[in-house]
Amino acid sequence: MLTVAGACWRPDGASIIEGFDLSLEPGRVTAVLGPSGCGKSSLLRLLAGVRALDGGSITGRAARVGFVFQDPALLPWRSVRQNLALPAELGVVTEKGAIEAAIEAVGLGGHADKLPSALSGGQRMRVSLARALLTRPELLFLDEPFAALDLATRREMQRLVLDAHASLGCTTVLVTHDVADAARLADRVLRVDGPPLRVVADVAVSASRPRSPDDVATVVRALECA
Amino acid sequence: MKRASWPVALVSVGVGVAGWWLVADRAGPLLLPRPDAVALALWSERTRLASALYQTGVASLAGLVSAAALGVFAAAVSWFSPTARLSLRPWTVLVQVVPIVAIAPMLVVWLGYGRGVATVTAAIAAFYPVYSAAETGLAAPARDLVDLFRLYGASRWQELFRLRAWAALPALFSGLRTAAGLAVIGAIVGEFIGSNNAPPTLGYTVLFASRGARADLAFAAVIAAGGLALALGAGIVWLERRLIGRWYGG
Repeated sequence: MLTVAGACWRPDGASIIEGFDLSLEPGRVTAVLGPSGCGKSSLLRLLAGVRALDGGSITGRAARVGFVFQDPALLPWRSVRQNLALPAELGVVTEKGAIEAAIEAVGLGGHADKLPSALSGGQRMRVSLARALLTRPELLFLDEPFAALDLATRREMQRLVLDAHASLGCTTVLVTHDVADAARLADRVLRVDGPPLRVVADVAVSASRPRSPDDVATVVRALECA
Repeated sequence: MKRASWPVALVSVGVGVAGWWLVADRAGPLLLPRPDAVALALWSERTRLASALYQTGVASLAGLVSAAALGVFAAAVSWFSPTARLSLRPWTVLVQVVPIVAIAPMLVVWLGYGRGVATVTAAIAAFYPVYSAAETGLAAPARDLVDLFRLYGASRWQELFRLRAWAALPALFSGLRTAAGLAVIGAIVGEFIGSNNAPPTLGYTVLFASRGARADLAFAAVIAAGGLALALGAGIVWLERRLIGRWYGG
């Protein structure tokens, strides 16, 4: 279990996160729902270990971590295949044939040798997701990955995320400001505010996935009342 | 330059040349030669000017390449170590503000007459824009990309060579475009003091022609120097498009 105890993060003296506590159950999808600038993306980076805490502790981090950023964060001078080779080049262990499998899994079979500039926004985001899934992560962090996508691409990306979550059984944390995304995907929704970041509501979602529009509407209403 | 802007540029040049012609007619050939006299000098002195262009071009290019290598190295060292950055700062500022014409005589003492002086003054003139651009470029990668490298446990070397060096290229090319013109200026200032007529250089030709009341030849040499700076800049733009244009769909 990933546990945050009394976490503090104060970049340049600003209290973005102050005495924050959280426990994340293994194998579940947790959505962190809140307005822009409240500190939810910072929390995700602290959970992933790419930022150092100024106080408190985070325990239960996994060895294999995947991260999808709001921007696809692809290296523009590398092809799709070369972008997916990056984790292995940096020493992260990936299975043989994982790159080709990941390219196929996200439906980019004919685009492996293209540069990111030759892809659409949705295709770039799929490459980003494929890279995050390459290492078969135990922890998957998603930082508003659907925010810039059109509706059809958003649904397709959400299906890919849920498929990956189901097949890997990973603990997934989704940061979003879209209540419908949270209602569609999450087992648990933390409504947050800040800074400093604080949880204003913690809602368990029991409806099974995939969720019908009625299910989503019910969860959205519950979240808006919480 | 966009295709649509060419007519405006041509009209602007035409108006400038016409104005030059009118003023030159009143001033006389000793003070300001007419454009046709300069064109005639460009043709009649083509052998001398071509040789001078070659000499100044080699010095400018060698200076630019040296400045690029030193500037990128200094910027990389500055990125690696804050202490090194602080230590380099007074020297980089000194290189930026030192009047080249004041140190050129000392360079002649150290290096003697010849291409060496012009190469060093070209490098001094071109260094700071390259260093500054490389330093800015190395700090340029998006926060998400830096976080991605941290997520995968990349070392500082890996971050430098697999991310920052590549991400710095657009800024570096911008700095090189500025530095190209400065390298030609630096080389010509070096040649004013550190070259003679064996072989002729553009800097020496300007000086020699001015002293000999050959304003037409001096102007021809200045035009050749301008062409050299334009050619160096165009070469850098070509290289930039070849290397990194595709990254951004250009």
